[in-house]
Amino acid sequence: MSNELGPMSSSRRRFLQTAGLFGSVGLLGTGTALAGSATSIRLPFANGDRDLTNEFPQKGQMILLRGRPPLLETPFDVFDHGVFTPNNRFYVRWHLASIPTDVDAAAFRLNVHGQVGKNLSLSLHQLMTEFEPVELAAVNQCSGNSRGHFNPRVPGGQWDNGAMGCARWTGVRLKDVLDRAGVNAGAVQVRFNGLDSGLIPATPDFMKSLDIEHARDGEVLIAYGMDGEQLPLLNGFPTRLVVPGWYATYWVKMLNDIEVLDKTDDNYWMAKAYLIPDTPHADVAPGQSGFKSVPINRMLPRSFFTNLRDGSRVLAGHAVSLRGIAFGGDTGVAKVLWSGDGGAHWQEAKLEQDFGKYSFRRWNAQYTPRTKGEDVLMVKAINSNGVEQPMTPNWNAGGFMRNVVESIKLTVG
Amino acid sequence: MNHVRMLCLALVLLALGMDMASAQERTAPMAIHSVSVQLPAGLAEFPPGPGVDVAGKCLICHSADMVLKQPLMSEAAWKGVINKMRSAYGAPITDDDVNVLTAYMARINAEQQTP
Repeated sequence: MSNELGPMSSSRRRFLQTAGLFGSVGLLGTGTALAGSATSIRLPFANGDRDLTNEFPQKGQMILLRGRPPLLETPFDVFDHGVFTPNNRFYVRWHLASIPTDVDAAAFRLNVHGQVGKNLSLSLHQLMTEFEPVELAAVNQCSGNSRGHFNPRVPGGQWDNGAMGCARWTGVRLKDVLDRAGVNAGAVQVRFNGLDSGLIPATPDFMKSLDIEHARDGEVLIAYGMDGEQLPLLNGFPTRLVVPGWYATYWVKMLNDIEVLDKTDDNYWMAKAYLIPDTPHADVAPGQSGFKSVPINRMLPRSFFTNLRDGSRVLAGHAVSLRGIAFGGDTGVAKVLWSGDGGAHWQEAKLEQDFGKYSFRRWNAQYTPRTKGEDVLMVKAINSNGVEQPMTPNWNAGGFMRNVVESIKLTVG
Repeated sequence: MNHVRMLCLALVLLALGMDMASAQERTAPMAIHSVSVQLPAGLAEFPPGPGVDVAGKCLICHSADMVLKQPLMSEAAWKGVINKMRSAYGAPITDDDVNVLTAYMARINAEQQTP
């Protein structure tokens, strides 16, 4: 157990060094150092130099954005290895600096109170044995994933595209727990709080809320398992809310308190933070004002190349395998389209195994560059509601919800 | 791994039927162990210069690294961030501190920019 949770073994590290780009006919490699051997990485935007770190418990090599409280990004080559992001490479994002480092599994209690018939104080054992366990594959993506690509740039965590991951979450339905407590007729929202807190009394405790109908939809989970293991502490051990299709800000880590409210939550993290323009794709013009703001909510579709990156070199006349991942946001992936000519023509990629509508979906295609020079490859996902990634980037001052069509420029030799 | 101590506890999930369409059935029991870890100290600090003493107040709540990784921002933008830290999060930065800290942040931010 402890070995599995520890830093990557040297064999795993060697594997990552050699497996990233590769296995495709006609590839000449890229100019970018591979994660694994390097101690730093340059993300593709200004001021993008980052250290790589192995210093965090239960984590392998991660991109260091902030040491305290931790912001750790998943190196993008990890996403080429499968649908599910290994627990020890799953990105980490904490708001407040007081994070418990000793969590006693036997003493832990999840409390349910507020507008309920009876308060609950549930042990992990009770959660795991008294409610029906369910498992769901779902993408967890930071609201600000890819913020570093915003133009004009905006302040905040300057993530590349690695503030996301996909895991099989094991847990119980929030609905079942709320039903055990008995929700009162006047319930409006349900508020979730974790064991973390600020270091200054005036710092608002991190809490997020969902509408009561959403909380009781049977899809929202209280997870105690992540890919068949307990959650890494930095991903929310021992219990974490799983809100399929919604941005990760709602996936409260170290969840130990559930309060049923009889009014809309006005706490800072709902009323002031994580607000988006109430416009399609949360898109406004830089400097624009006067629009209505609402709490961030459902995710948008995205897709990525994982075996090629900007600057990769390929050979004219030689077939290249394209691989990547896609997700539909708040529903499944209907189609992934790719273009080898900068978006003039699109072809449908082959979708691989379906692990459920909230999961990453791997895709592949074959591409043969025709002539020497540069090719701009693009990929876009269309979800099963017909929502497709836009060709122009959305923009908002929070740096939230980026989902523009991804493009990479290849050198054809 | 010497800083990760796993204390075994007898919490076992007995395999029960799972009915989520998207799930793979899991029959192996899942054990949950207590966790005790140490987090890195997060000692990243601010570069020297006038105002660095005030910037030290920022380190109460977070290390300096993310501040140093911000894109190029104007003095007005830095003042906005600093005032948000005061009003929203309770940062103990006084009125007198604000201009000193704003000038410091704008200077080091410009100096940190890389292509």
